Amino acid sequence: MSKKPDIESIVRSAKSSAGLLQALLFLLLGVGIAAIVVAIESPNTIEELLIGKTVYEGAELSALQLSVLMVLTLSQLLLWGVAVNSTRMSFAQIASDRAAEAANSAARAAKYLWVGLAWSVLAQMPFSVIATWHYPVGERILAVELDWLHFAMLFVALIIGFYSRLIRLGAELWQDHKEIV
Amino acid sequence: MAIIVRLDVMLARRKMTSRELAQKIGISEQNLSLLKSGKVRGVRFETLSAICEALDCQPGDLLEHEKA
Repeated sequence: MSKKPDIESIVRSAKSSAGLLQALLFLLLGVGIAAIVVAIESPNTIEELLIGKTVYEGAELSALQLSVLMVLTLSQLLLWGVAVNSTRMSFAQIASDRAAEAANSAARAAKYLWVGLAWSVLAQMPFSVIATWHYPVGERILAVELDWLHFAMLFVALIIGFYSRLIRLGAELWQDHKEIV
Repeated sequence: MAIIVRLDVMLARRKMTSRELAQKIGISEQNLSLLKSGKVRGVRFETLSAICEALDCQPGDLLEHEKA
C-alpha cells in the first residue's frame, strides 16, 4: 500500500514555492522600476544597455525614441511577470486545495510564456526600426534575429505546456481520488 | 444510489460520536460525514476495515443494498 501524502508538508511546500515566485515577481518589478529611474536620470546609460554603442558619430536617440524602446522592453518584462504571477497563483491554489484552479493557472502561465516568446521575436522589428530611426535615410534597419536563446525558450515553453497539461490531469485524478473515502 | 450507508445506526448502537470514530480511524470528520450521508463515490477497503475494527462489526452491518 502506498504511503499517504502528508497534507501539511504539501501545503508548506506549495506555500514556500509561491513565496519564492512572489520574491521573483518583486525582483522583476524592481528591475522594471530601476530601468525607468535610470532612463530618466541617465538616458545614455539605458541607451547603451538597450542598443549598445551607436555606429554613427553624433547620432543620438531622441527622448521619444528612448521612451518607445523602454516601453517595448518593459512590455517584455511585463509578460514574464504575468507568467511568473500565474505560476505563483498555481502554487497558492494548490496550497488552498483548489487543484482545478491551479491547473488553469498553470495553463495560463504556459500561454503567457508562448506569448512572451513570440513577442521577444516580433518586438525586434519595431525595436530595430526605432533604434535606428535617427540614422541617415537608407541606413535604418528592420531586423529580426533568431538565436539559440530563442530556441532554448521555445523548448522550455514546450515543456512547460506539457507540464501544465500534466497538472490538469493530476487535478482530475485528485478530484476522483477525493470522492472515494 | 442503491447502496445505503448505515453508519449512523452503528454509531448510535456503539454510543460513539462521529468525531471519536474519525479520530480512531484517521480520516477527517468531513469525509466521515460525507460517507455517513452516502455522498461519496466509493469507500476503500482500508477505510471499511478500520471502521469495522473500531465499531466491532461487519461490512454488512454498515452497508445495505436497496433494490431500485
